[in-house]
Amino acid sequence: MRIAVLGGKGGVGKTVLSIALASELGAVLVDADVTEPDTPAYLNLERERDVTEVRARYAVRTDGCAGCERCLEVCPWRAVDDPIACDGCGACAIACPEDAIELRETELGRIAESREPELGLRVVHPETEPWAPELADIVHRMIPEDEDCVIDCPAGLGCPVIAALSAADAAVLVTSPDPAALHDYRRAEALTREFGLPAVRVLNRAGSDEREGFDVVIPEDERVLRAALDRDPGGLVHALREPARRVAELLPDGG
Amino acid sequence: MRLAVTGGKGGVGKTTIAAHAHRLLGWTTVDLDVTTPNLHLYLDCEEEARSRVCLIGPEVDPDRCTLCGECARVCHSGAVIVGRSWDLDPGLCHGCGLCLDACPRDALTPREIEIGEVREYRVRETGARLLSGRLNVGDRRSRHLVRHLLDHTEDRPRLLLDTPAGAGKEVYDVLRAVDAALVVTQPTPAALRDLRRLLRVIRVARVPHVVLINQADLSERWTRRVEREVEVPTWRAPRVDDPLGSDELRDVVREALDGLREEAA
Ligand code: SF4
Ligand code: SF4
Ligand code: SF4
Ligand code: SF4
Repeated sequence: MRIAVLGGKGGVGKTVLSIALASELGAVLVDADVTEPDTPAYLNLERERDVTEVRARYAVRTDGCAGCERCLEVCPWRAVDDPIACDGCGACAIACPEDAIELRETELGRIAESREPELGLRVVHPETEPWAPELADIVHRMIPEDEDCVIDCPAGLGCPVIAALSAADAAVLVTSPDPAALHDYRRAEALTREFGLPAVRVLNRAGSDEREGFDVVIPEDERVLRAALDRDPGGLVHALREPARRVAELLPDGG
Repeated sequence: MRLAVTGGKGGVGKTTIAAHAHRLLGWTTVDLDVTTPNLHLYLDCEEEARSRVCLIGPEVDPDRCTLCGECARVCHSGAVIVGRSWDLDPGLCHGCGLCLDACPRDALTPREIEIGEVREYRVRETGARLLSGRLNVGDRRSRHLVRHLLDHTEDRPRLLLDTPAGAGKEVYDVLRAVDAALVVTQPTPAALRDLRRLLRVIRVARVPHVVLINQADLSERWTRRVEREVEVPTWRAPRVDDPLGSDELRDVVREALDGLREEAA
């Protein structure tokens, strides 16, 4: 079973719940936040191996260039000669009448697999430059083939989240009670519905009277913050064990 | 001056700080967090207009098309597939127009492919405009909508931009379009990690910036680490009960904005 943990808004507790849920299920934790992977900040990871390299192409003008600027017209990002902005799509090379665009290859990092010894958790996480292109592809390459995993999605509902949902069998939707988080959460719910995935809905950091429409409610808990500040993975998982267990029970086939 | 409010990690208070900055400056403001736009919820505002955002893709005239496959050959994104019929997956089209130019039979004409919309609000307190980009749920072309909004507001000398979360290419696009950036973070290990990566992108984009440490009293230890690590001026904002209504927070944002203008000068 592959479980995507998403919510739309950042900072609602996706990553800590993903860690607790992966520990509960004995599943691999996949950090799908390619531009800002956070799981290593909560865990004490010991690196086991490189899963794969992440390479990218970028376009540059070469000596044959006649200066017509056709390449810049077809590039949505005007990224010719700018390796950070270029996503390597190759449109400019097709458009250039002089065949003067060269697509160069570069290495932007790797996907790593590490172990969290205290939790006995295996974590697959990206170690790339933040400007790596084709985030969806990177997410797909991080998801293990025939093992259970929990995919911790980035904030927002962009390509990496869509990639995670397209590979997942179930979703865990997380929000906090504030209006902005709930607004983003409803968009996340709509996206999950498009994929027809069963979902467990979690309200995190709840006050006393909010729980309508949620399957699991997690009250505000200072211990979670303290464990994050102290980089205490054991304390983190301990504080979230009960809600993680309830989420696991509500997943199809109990996770 | 064109100014971005940015914060690598989600939930550090970027949008709250952007709302304060809007109320202090009274400038036209753009919400570029297009997959989850919510700055309009932080400001008292009313919607005035809505416009669709479209890319221009191809429409085929089956009577003219000979299924020669030239259009599919130039389509780098695989949106056009030509076999026994001509097919377009509109969700993959990037609007480059190469297929339209390539067809030898004039069988392709431009058509609109909607990716989202822009909602225009009037903020009651300032009378200024808020432009909010809203990508259609499930669309993968967020960067195109960000680009659209940047191009659309290119001529404005004074503009406040609320950047998307993360530190990827969209964030780089925004940073390339501004004169200065107010970076919001929190004193936690995860936020510091994200801050480091965001600062890498900011340095590559060569944007003058300052850092506001939101909820600095969460942890003195991590606040000090942030202050030690960044090479630009930092401000500490306290934890408050009502962040949007807090004069204390507003004052810190004002000071940080003044500091940012000095950095950028
Ligand atoms: S399209 Fe080719 S010839 Fe024209 S500016 Fe670009 S690289 Fe140079
Ligand atoms: S490869 Fe694509 S993204 Fe890069 S410069 Fe060419 S058209 Fe632009
Ligand atoms: S406009 Fe560009 S991306 Fe869209 S179908 Fe044509 S060639 Fe493909
Ligand atoms: S290039 Fe023109 S004629 Fe050839 S397959 Fe495409 S649309 Fe049809």
